This record gives sequence, structure tokens and C-alpha cells, in this order.
Amino acid sequence: MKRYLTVFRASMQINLAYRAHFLFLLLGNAVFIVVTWFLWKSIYAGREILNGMSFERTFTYLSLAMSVFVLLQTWVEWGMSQRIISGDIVIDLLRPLDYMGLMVSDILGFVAGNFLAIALPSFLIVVFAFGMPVPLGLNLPLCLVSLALSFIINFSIDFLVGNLGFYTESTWGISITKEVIVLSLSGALVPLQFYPEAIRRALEWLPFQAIYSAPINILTDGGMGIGAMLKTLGAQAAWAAVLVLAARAAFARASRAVTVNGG
Amino acid sequence: MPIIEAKGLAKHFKVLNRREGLGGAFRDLFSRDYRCVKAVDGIDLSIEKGEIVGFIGPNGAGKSTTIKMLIGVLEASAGTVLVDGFVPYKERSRYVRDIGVVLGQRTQLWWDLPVIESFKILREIYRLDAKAYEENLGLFKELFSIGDLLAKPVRNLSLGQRMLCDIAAAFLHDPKIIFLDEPTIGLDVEVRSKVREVVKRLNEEKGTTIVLTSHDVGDIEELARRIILIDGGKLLYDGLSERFLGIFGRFRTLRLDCRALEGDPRERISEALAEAFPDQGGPALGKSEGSWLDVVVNQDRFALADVLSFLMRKFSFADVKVEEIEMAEVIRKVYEGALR
Repeated sequence: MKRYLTVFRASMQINLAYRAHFLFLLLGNAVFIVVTWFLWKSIYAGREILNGMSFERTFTYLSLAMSVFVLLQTWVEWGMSQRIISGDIVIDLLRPLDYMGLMVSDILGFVAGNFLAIALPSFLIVVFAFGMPVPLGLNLPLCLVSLALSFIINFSIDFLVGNLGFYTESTWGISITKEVIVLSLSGALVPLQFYPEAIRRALEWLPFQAIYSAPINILTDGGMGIGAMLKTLGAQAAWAAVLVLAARAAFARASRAVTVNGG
Repeated sequence: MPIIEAKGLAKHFKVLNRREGLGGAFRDLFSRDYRCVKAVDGIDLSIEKGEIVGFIGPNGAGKSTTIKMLIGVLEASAGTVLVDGFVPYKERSRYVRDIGVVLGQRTQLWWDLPVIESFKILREIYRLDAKAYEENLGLFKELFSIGDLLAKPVRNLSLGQRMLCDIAAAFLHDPKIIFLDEPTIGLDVEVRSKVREVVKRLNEEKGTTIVLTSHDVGDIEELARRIILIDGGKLLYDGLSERFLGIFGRFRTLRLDCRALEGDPRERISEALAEAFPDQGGPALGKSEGSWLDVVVNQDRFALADVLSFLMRKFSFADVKVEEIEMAEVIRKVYEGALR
């Protein structure tokens, strides 16, 4: 464990060295929140409730969803395919560490930096600058647990897709496809409540909604009891377990196809 | 018992036959045509503890592929390999703790961090105790004179400096075997000899088994007591380097720039040499490249100085160079039976 912590610390150290990166992430996200405000203000056009959601809830949900998106966007599959194409994957395989463990530790270093630069400021902007009502209580620590599970689910999906790089040597197209699927089916772009009933039901059986809906609902839905929160966390944990196992199995198989380019 | 043992080791790749041009690229989208490339084609190896063994061969001979199977990154298509009691591919994450690897074209150091930080990370992930770490660091500072480099970020190092740091990193956790894949590629003469010296000293100090690849005969000459010559994925020679160098170390390539000569320089020089050095038709001509013509001189039979002064008196060359024998020439001579 300590060995992985070392990798995590190194990654965080590298990430923190790039100050402009943080500044622009922060700025970009703030701009997005403002745009979301105006866009949905006009969609609501004076109406109080749409699809059972008030403007305040929709706006809070979407701006936080985008913050979670930026937080979790770590380009895992892109990084993997780059290292496969350049052949640098050899270096990773030669470390006396579990490959997926190595990747998680490395990526977490970036996510930790992003959390300070993105998640926290966005939360503060939504609550204080826009004066949105967010209940403060047990939901805060539970939301953090939920976010951690979101990270694991999202990472495993990325890692699964990244394994395709061992076969195709280029994952740009696959990566874009994955991104679109995840964003639209998870309710990160439009709240799931706005989808037709049948589709919404179907989506509840997929892992994608567990990435965005879960932590944000726990944080913002004041009507959610402790039982409902734990149930949400349980479903997330189940998805996380399934996907981690799938990702490990995929890697065990795919890494046999390594060809190692460039000498 | 040998520390590295391989029998009938082979690696076959399925390679796409790409069609030419943009139109070809479009057609490749729909119909594909593969061929099988035998990068390594049945190699037997047996390496003892503490040996320095050099793999040499021209580009694309299968040296690096062999190394990658030995370090467990590639799975062999056929044959068996056992290194230090491990099947490298199957038990990779356990096995790699006891080996060190330097890949000439890549770095295992953290690009954005100072060198010393990379060493500290490696110390942690190999669970090296403080005493061994300090001892090795001291040894490296003394041998490599890299003391001043440690505070610099890896991306600011020159290729030679980076290579020395990479070699130090590979030796840091006291591995039993070190694999060096083209450790001198792209380095200038001075750094190259430094790399050789350092590797040799570490082998003496620590008794580490060393397997290296190179396409530079000089690397082998300085380092390895045993060489393994590979071409086309097959073993051409496996034996003492003295014997190999006894044959090829005596050859020199005389490169002549013939742009000022009239007529066919190949014909004129060949005739003049045959006349002046009647022993077996004189020094042989090598390849021609642009205005350059090679003459391969076996110093056992002809004095290099005699051949050179004869040619310079007889013809006027724009430029003249004396070089070591090229790998391609070595391979050609082996096929012609030079080592038999």
C-alpha cells in the first residue's frame, strides 16, 4: 500500500507544478456554470416546475454534474493508448506493481489536484454566488464516499476501454464514443427526470447513472432519507465491484496482445 | 545451474500488409491481408550467473524482441524460458523485482521530477532499506559522477546524462540480472565509453549478471566476454568474444570519396589493388554509396598503412575515412563462413 502511496504523491507533486492548468480549469468550469444558468433559465421560461424538478434543483444538479465530469475526466484510455502506441507501456509493465493499481495511484494524484481546483470552488459558487439551497448535514460526508465510488466506476470503464488499445492501437474514436455514451446515459448533460419514462427505467439498470446521479442526489436532494442514501451507495458499490473485476480480467487478457512498438 | 535458460525461443508477429497511398489506406479499412513475421525464430540460450553477455546483430535482427521475452514483457510464441527460476511472462510482477532494465530509447525516470525524486520513488516501490539505498547512491556518485545531476529535472538532462541516471536507477535495488537494450544508442564517443566503464565496474563490484544488446561492435569489445550474434531471428554465433574479435576486430573499413576520379572508380581501384597486392586478389571492395566507395582491409593480411598510402599516391580522393567494420559486413562474412 505504501508503495502505491508513493506513486500517488509523485503524481500529485507533478500535477501541482502546473499552476496555469488549475487556473484555466477553474475559469472554464466557472464559465460553464454561468452558461448553464442562462440556458436553463430560458428553458424554464418562467415556469416553476418542469418534469417534477424546480429550476433551482435542475441548475444545481447540472452545474455540479459538470464539476464531477471535470473532476473525473482523467483521459485514462487516451493515456493508455498513447503509451501502447509509443511502446512506453513496457516501462509500466516492468514496475514491480500491479498495473491497474499503478494506474489508479497515478490518476488519483491528478484527481486530488482537480478536487481542490474544481469540486470545492464549484460547490462554493453554486451555494454562495447563486444562493442555491443545499442541505448541510450527513449528506456531505456520504457525498464524498459516493464520489469515491463514482471515481472507481468511471475509472474502471475508462480502463476497460483503454484495454482495446492493445488490439486497435488507436482509441481516439472509441474514446469519443465512450464519452458520448457515458455523458448522455448518465444524466450528466440533462437530468434523468427529463428522459421518457421507459428509457429512464432502462438506464437505471446501467452503471452510468451511478457515476453522476448518485453523488449529486445525495448532496442536493433534501428529501432523501439516510436509508435511501445508503441504498444508493450500496448500488454504486456493487457496480464498482463488478466493473473492477471486469477491468482486471480484460487487462489480464489484453496484455497478452502486447507487441511493443519502436525498438 | 544457469541463471537464464531458453530453449527454442520464438516470437511470431502477425503484421498487416498495408497497401500504398491514400487509396490503399481506404481499401485496408475493408479488406486486410496479414503476413507472419518471425522476429525470433528458435533460439537456445544458457547464461551463467555473473556473466556479461552481449547480443549483437544488425537492426531488426531480433535482439530487442529476445530481450523483451526475457524480461517478461512479451509472451513467447514457442519454446521455453526460465530466468532465475521464474517463467518471466507468467510471474511478471514478482519476477521484475529481481531484475533491472535499461531501454536505450526510453526512460524509466519520472520526466517532470528531479532525478533524486525518481530514485526516492524507486526506493519505495522496490522496498529498499535506507542503508542499501545510501550505499548504492554513494557508489553511483563515485562511479558515475552524477552528483550534480541529481537535483535537475529529468527533462533537462542531455541524452548521455539521462542514460547514466537510467543505468543507476536500474542498479538501485540490487537486482540479480540487468538487461541493457541498446544502452549506447545515439551517444557520443566520450559518454559511450563512460557507460561501458560504469557497467563493467558495477558487474565487478556487485557480481550482477548483465545481458546487453548493441549494434556497435565496440560495446562488445569493451564489455562482454561472450557474444551472441543474431540475424533474421536466428543464432549465428554464441561463444567467446575473443574469437569473434580475433576475426572481426582485425578488419577496418577504408572509406574513399571518389568524386574527383574519372571513369568507373570501382573498376579502377579494384584493378590497381589486385596489381599492387597480389595476395588473394588484394583487399576486397565493399559497398558503394554515392561517391563513397568502401575497401575492407583484413589487417592480418595487409598493413592498413600500406594500402592507404598506396591508394593516396595513385589516386586523388576528395576525402578518406578509416572506420571499424560495419555490422552488415560482419553478417555477410559469417554467412560466407568466417566463423566456421
